[in-house]
Amino acid sequence: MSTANIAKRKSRSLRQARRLTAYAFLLPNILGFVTLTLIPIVAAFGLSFLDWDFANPAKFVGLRNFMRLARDSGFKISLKNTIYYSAVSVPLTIVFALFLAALLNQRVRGIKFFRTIYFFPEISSIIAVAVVWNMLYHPTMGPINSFLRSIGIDNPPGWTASVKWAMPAVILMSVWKQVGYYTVIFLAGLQGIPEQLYEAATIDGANSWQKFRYITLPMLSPTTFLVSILLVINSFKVFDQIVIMTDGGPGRATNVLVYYIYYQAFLLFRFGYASAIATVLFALVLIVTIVQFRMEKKWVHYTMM
Amino acid sequence: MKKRLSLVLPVCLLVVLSLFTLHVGAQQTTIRFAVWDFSMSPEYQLVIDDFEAEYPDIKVEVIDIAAAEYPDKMTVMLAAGEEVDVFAVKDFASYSNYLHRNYLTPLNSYIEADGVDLSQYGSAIEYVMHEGQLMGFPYRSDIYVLYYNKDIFDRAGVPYPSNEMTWPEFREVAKKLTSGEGNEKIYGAYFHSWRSQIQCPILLTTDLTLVDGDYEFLRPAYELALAMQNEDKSVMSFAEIRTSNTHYRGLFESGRVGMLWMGTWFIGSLLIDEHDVNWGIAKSPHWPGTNPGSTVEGLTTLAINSKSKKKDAAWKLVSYFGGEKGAKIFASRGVLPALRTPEVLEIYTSAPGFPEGGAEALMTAETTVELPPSVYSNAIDKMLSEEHSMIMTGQISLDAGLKNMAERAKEIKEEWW
Amino acid sequence: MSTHNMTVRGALPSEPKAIRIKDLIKRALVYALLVLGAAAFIMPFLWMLSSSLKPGYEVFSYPIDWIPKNIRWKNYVEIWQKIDFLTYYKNTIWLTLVVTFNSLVTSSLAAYAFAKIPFPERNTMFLVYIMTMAVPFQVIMIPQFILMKNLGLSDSLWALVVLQSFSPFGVFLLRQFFMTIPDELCECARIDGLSEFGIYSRIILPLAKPALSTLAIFQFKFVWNDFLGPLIYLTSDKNKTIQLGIRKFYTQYGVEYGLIMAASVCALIPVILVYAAFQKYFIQGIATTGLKG
Repeated sequence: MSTANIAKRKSRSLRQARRLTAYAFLLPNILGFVTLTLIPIVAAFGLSFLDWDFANPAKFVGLRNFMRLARDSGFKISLKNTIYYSAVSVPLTIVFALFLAALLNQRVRGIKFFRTIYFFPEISSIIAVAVVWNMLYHPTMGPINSFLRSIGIDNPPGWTASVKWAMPAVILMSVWKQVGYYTVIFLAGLQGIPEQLYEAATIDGANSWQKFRYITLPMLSPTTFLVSILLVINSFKVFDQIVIMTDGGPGRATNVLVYYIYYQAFLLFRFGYASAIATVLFALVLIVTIVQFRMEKKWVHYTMM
Repeated sequence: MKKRLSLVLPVCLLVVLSLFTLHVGAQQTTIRFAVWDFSMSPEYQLVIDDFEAEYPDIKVEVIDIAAAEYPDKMTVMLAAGEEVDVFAVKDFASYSNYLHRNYLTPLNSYIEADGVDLSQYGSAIEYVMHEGQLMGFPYRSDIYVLYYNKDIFDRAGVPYPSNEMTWPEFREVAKKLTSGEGNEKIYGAYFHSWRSQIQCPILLTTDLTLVDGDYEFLRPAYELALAMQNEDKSVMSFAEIRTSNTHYRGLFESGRVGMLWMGTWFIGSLLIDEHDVNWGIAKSPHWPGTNPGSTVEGLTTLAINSKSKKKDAAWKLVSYFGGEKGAKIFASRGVLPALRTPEVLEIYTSAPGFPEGGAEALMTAETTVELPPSVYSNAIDKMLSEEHSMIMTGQISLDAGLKNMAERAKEIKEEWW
Repeated sequence: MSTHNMTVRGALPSEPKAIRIKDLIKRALVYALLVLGAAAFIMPFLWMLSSSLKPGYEVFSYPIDWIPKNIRWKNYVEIWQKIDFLTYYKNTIWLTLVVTFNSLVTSSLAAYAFAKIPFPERNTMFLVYIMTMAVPFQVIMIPQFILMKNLGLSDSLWALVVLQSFSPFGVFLLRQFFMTIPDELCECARIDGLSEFGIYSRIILPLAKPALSTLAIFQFKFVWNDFLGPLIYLTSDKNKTIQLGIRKFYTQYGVEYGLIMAASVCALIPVILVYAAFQKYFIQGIATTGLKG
């Protein structure tokens, strides 16, 4: 036997051992995950080929649920609205959360207090949030429109009562509500950046912007990657805020995919069709996520240079 | 010996205990009863207490679900075959869903055996009949009446609404009652943001229902509502109601609304809530061409799960709730029962705080329902609400709105595949 | 206060005056921004507080009365009487603590495998994990409920424990943070003869305190406020959680907003406490100590 062979075998057995160790670590999570989450998900995908109301006998309909989507105006509107919501709210939240995290990472007195306050929208009752924002958006008496009129805009938007402005109103509110959550993630990420890097940069004469641009941003990229994937997924699943703020209206102006899924499943009992819509939603998120993973290597730096 | 005793004693105890439970188990039947708002509506517990006293062999286990989530939770429980013997049915849309998914037990055989007289339950009962079989037993029923604030009428020097008021008259009176500006403004009337507020009263002028797909008959109702909102400004605008989260209950009870068209459930709230509004009720206004007292009616029923193994005991509970004993308890707590014998009505109208002369307002001529049971009910309901919000916020014209309704109804009813 | 902070502070007085003034302006600006933002972020909470002291029909008076006309403390008494709030509170505390602890353990173990042990299927499996988050609960609700019922786990807090203890979110979050810990650190430890579990528990976990506390806060918050899960899985009153209890005040014909807000304020306190307790790990700069050798 040659030494090369031994080395090969050794490395193979090492790989096997590694795999075993990895699975040992994964086991507690995977056990619960596969049986209780993955199986129902696969079942739900399977439902998308059926016509079933969970009571009468199921009927296999092949791809017809998916073909029906193309003719369904409700689906097309909610898909368009979801993409609109996602495309605007995701970048806005990232930028805003980054800014807040940088602000809350300052070593000033009382910062703990401020950090708690900024998390409040995330934990406050959604009704309270909706009420306060509705008050801000009030078309005639709200402070936002009063301000707009005072700077000379005679016809300020009708916000949640207008087809055109309802979605921007919901987006603005959602960004504000969820930003605290992502700020916390960024804050945790900021703790991982070694102080020495900033000290070295200061010695080299870098200004604050340069430090942010060339140290903070790259060092924070794993967190940004995490946040951007979470945000995309969550924005495609937006539901609660919509129900409370506009209930999908006026008309269908803020009707989104999950809202439509809920409507098909729990009001019309078309569980097969609802699953087909969920499958489309899943496919969309999958594509976006795979693209994000492909690009990960270009901009995400996991360890310091 | 001691040792053996210490072993025998627990074993004996166990045997005795299990015998005891077996014995009890053989006698008692437990019925699982799903209903919403149980802990907030004490009358349900009162009925159950009386029922259990009368039938000691039956025990009622309540599944209490919040009103808004009730349909969804029931969907999941029924789909998974959870044990539920009796469940309350909220409206005709839910009724139709349960019916088409075969969750309802036909009740005719029980009714015949017990000799129940269905003619005492009003005409809306026909909507819960399927192929000649009664599928749900009504226990409460609400009609729409007109609530008014006497002080606002007195201050404006306008006589209180009569039982013969028409909707055009309603508009004129509302105009006279309206006064003030901004947060102090007194509104002559109030239409809540629900579509039914505008779309339902006019149903009595036509043989069509809202699921039929022709909506031209709604035009006069919308013209009236839009005129009141935009020209007279005698009602709060739809957009403002939505953006300020206004609730009819709060606005009426704070004395800012002259007239309100609302269901009789609101009587119960007005009797309980802390407020100082001097209120009265009259019959619902009617559209010219229909009889005074024509109004919209809603029915709440109890159904027996078709998969229940304890149907006989379940029927006892259902008929107790809908029967005279249940009706009297409901009536005494400000809830209008479906069984409206003179005796029951007497109890209902003599509750402390019930407005003088209000009994007359409860007498109906023709009645109709908001939305008849149909497989399309939920979809049509949602569609009509969406178009309603578009019309009332002025996003589209009335013509366009009515046209959209008809087109979308067609899309909803078109062959699914 | 970390020693690191001390040295920076100690260095200040020796710096030139111009820098100190600049620093002062910067600080003033930071405070101004913080206060301005805080005002905007605390509004809903203030609304909750003020509404919790009003009778139901006054809650939606417009414009908002921030200070109630007649303060009604009764709301805070009634919530314990009208519903079995104490039981719901106890259930929620138990559920939240168990789930948070479990998910910290299972997620960190799985995240370690995904971040630090290379094995062939790693990336594919990880993607599957993440993507399950993209399936709306509304479509898996019924299949999952049927499955759980067949496992004998309906109407039980344990149903929620087993469902929520394996969060893909937690795995993802921790994996990202574990990735930033240099591999060389693990390699050195391996050469020193430390087992994989030893590396996980003695090197990675202590270094990842900010990430672990983030996950703890989020899981706590999620389970505490979760509504849909308890709605589906808990049926009898003795098992219900706070969020289900609060829903009892939303009745068919009217909503008791005063009581709802009083209950919501009571429900908020533990979440704030947990947040305040765990966020202290955000300022110790743990990850920076001991690294970079």
